[in-house]
Amino acid sequence: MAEGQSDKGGHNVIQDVAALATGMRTTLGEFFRPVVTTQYPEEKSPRSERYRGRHYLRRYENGLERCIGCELCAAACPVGCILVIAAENTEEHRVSPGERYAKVYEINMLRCIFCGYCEDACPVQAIVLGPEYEMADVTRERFVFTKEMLLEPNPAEERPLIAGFAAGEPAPTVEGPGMTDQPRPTFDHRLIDTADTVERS
Amino acid sequence: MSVTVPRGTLLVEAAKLVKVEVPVFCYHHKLDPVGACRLCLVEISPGPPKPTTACTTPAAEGMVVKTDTPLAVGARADILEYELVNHPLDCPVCDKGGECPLQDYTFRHGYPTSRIDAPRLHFKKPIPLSEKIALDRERCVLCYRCTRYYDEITWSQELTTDERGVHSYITSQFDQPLKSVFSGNIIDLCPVGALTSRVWRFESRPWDMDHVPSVCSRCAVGCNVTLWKRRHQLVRVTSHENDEIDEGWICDRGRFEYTHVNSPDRLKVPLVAGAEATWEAALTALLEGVQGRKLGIFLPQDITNEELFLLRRLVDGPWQDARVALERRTLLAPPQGETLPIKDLDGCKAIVVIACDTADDVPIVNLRVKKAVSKLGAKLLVVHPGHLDLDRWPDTFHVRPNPGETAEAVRRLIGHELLQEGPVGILYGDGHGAEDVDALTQAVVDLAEAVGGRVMPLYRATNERGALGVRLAGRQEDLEGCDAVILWGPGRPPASARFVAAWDSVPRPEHEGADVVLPSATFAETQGSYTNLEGRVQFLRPVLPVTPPLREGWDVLCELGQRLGMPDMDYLGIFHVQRQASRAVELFAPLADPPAPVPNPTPVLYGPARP
Amino acid sequence: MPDNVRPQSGDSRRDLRGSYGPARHHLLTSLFGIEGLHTLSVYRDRGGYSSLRKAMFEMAPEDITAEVKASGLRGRGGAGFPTGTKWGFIPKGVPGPKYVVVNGDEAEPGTTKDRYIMENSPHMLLEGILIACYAIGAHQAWIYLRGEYDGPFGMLMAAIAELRAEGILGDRPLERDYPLDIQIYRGHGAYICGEETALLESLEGKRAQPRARPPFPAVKGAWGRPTLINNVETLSNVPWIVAHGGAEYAKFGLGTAKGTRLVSVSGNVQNPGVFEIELGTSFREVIMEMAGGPPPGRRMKAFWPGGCSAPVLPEWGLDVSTDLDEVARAGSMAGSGGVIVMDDSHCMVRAARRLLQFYAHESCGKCTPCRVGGNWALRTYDRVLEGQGSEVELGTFDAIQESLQNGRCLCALGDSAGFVIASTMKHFRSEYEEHCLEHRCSVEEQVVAASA
Repeated sequence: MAEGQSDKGGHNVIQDVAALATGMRTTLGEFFRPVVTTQYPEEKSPRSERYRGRHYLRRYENGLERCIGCELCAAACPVGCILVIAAENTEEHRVSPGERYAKVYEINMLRCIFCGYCEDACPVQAIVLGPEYEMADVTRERFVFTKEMLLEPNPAEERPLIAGFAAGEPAPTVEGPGMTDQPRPTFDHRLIDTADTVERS
Repeated sequence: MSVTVPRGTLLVEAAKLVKVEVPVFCYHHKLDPVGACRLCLVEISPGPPKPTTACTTPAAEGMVVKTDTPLAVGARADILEYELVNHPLDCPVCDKGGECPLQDYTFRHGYPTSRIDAPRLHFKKPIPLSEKIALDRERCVLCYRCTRYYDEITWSQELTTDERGVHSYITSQFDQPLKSVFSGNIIDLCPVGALTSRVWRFESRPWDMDHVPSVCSRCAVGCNVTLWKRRHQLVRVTSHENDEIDEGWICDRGRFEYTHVNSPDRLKVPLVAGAEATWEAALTALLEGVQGRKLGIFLPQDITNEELFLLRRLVDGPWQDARVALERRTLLAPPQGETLPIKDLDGCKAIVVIACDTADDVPIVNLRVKKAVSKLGAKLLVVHPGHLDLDRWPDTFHVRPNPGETAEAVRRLIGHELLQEGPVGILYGDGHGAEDVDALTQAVVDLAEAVGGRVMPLYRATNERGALGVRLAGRQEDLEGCDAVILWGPGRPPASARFVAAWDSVPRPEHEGADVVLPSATFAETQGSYTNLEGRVQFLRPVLPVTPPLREGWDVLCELGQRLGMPDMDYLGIFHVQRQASRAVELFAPLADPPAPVPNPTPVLYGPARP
Repeated sequence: MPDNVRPQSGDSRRDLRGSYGPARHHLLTSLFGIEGLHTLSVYRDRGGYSSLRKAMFEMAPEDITAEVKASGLRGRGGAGFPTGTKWGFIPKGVPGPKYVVVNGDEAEPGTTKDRYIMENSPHMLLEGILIACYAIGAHQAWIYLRGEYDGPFGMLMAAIAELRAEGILGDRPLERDYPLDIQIYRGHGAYICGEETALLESLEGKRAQPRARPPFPAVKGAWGRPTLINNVETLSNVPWIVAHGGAEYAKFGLGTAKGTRLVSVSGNVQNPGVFEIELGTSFREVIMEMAGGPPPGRRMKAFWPGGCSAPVLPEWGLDVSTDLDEVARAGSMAGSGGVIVMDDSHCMVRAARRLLQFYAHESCGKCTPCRVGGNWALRTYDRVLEGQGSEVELGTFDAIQESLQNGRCLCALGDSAGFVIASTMKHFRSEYEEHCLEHRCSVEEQVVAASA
């Protein structure tokens, strides 16, 4: 069938060689271009500052957790993958400033769609979505990230850093329209800001 | 929109009828209006060209009320702005956040942006008012609902205001912890997060819970409550207004005594000789244990009508000689003839309370008596040996007979000058065993006949009236001499018992060493109904599922009946039991008509602000 | 000098406390200064208690009320409500007790007239109270006395003891079967107790907070009973009215406000004191002539015509007459008759801040605008006076004053706080703008320059 077509078309050899040369030119041209393939996992592509990857729970500089256990992230979550169970701080056991902290904080990463609504909802900027996206694992249970896994390391304690997240080391970023290299806005937690308080007379 | 209302109706209430929201903080429909928060400002004509409080102004013929003029809208927004000047805005950690009128009103009636730039005033917080209640003075908007509730409703004045001006704060009298059994209602009353429950503290957010209206299981009044669950746990109990019974108040026992439902010690599987067993094995062991022995059965006070009916069938049949005791029961007999319904206390011109500390035994009836006396002008007579909280009313006529002589004291009341005007309500208890109940009852009946009054026997146990209806209300002493007992609820085994079966939701010291232990469902899980002290049948609505191997009491009783070879014990479901009970027992006739299932509740987050 | 002006000098007036200026008509103060007037014997010798006798034996209760109505007497406590009308509101024929409560909680800054009456002639007040009791059918009267008034308290106690001893108070006063009694209750130092319903709450032993009206005290007052509440000065006028007739009293004064009243002039005047004036006298006469005007070299800048609760009037207000309605037309109110004068050495922003501090401190805390608004305004003033003001603060002042006035609050205390901001801003806006926008005070600069 193919032969028959070829005969009917009446192509000559020169045309075939020219076509071959055209193809080879494209091939050779691509051969000398810079390589765009990233050697994942040895190499990683740069990510936007605003990339929404794995979540982290932040701390204050003094080591207290930012999270106040208000459950607004869970309320905002469109897929319901966040579970927060709150408890009360005591003088002996202080986890966060103020009255309330998250005793349990779990995110089901299998269900999460990384929309970032939790970050938007958080009144104290405790939960943030970080640059990490490598979360493959072998059992479903291990995708439920607990508070211990989500918390950023305590600067007051010498603890091994969580893989893929170096505290203080900015994530690689790429410049582009709509992207910014501005640092994240700092947020003063009003509950611990006592400078502007007026004592009762 | 025009609306016709009874004379004296306040403008806020009239506005509710035409579905116009007038925001209020200090106004509460069960408290006298004070006009303190000034949030309900509206314009009325004819009238002066200035805003007027809708909560203190009664509607009048031809009155035109404008809620949406620039003046009224601006005045209300100004007030809301003022409320927020010193508010800490810690809504994320506040237990009220999500069901808070201050939040809702600010969204609906407040300014969209804040002008407040000054530093805020601060108080130390939170302050424990009692074991159950925490006070946050920064969040307080000083609506005085809590102090007025204590003054007007409970007559106990445990809360007051200290300091003045912007430094005013709510405090307990002399900084003493709250002792009243009615203290929990101030949590429901508080329109902001100033008064919060310490039992529910930080347990869950309001939008995260499901809730169903149900009935309280703690005493015979049968107050309606709302049960709130989160993640298969009962996390909160609040009131559910039913003007025929509770008027929206519940006592602290009903509000806070629910934590055993979520207890980690909850019994889940049956135990035989201390080892886990199947229901099959456990029931077999139970039946073998009671076989041929003199049987005694102890019943919990919150046993349902359906369970009582099935037990009656068992006691009529195979367990013919069994003796039955009921937890917390009074010695009162079933009432003869018609009794006084709780709601008719409002119409009484005189009320006699005999041989009963109502605040302890039937707390909400106590509040109804107080309302009838202080707000509706009824005379109050008390016949009781001790000092009662009803004595706080200055005009209370208190007869203090020696214990055991109450009947004579009641007879001497016949022809008393305070009883000249009717209708008279006569409430009587059993004096906690100090009185000859038959003589007392006869004296009460004679008094009622002489003054033309109606009587209300004050039973103590939740379903005592139902138990009396099927003649199953014995006393703990009746179990003496039984050599096999089934302890359903917190009963003690008699010394003579050689076989003990315990049936309860949590392990109890009284049940130590029981031969068979059966797990029981609680009021939050079981289906069924209670009969309250006035004979009203009210249905429980389970908020939690009965997760196997847990089984409901009626289900277990049915199986016991079947194993004992009784006919017609293979009921198709609880409705089947209810239909048969309604035909068999006159008191249970309303069981034939169970209420329709409640629709799924609207999420609180998007619902209307609660009043 | 007209004939009816009494000379100020006279032997019997030497020991008079306070000053005593020239006035044309002396109804209240005609006897003041007489040696021993506070004793029953001297007061009787001068015709005291003849009005009570006349009222109880020659007049029916309704006649007394009618005379008071005819006199055109208006309340002297601040609101200026017609007294006779108020007496007429007390329901007749209701079973159970009624009360007369005398508002002697004179806490209005710049007002000292009640103390002047009680210290000079306590029996005149007591006679007025007893006549009022008889007129409305009450047997019990309460004098709610300002807690700080130790002198008047002692004198009233002594006077009441005399009345009891003489049998004018007791089961059969003046041998008539109409029991009468007067009790004194001393306040504990709260400005709000001058508000009639808060006074009643305090009298009942509760936290002094105003009640919502209606019901008015005339229907449901002290302990839920019909209650007549009158100011000390108002009741002190009653003996004269009963003795001479309402029509005679109505010959004094202008317009709807009849009779004479006591004004207490204080502040930057050379001769501060309490003066009895006929209503209708102009403030120029009161301030510039009776009180001697501002100190030499100073110029009058502003005055509060009726205690600090009344809106301030600038210099042109001197030509306003003291007639209640005319003061109201000028944008202020005659109030309690306490005239506070300020000269040009005072910054009005600072003055307003000081007054607001008073209102924020004295707010009872019941209703929201006054409780929060006063404090918020005070903190805003503090920021402005520290030189941190801006246009935002001007807007805040405007917003606060508007939301304090005109029915937003339960009682007049909130309105008064609003008046302070509103009236000083209205008449002295340039000073506010100086403070808020330029962060300077021209008045202070002038004073510093003058003293340098």
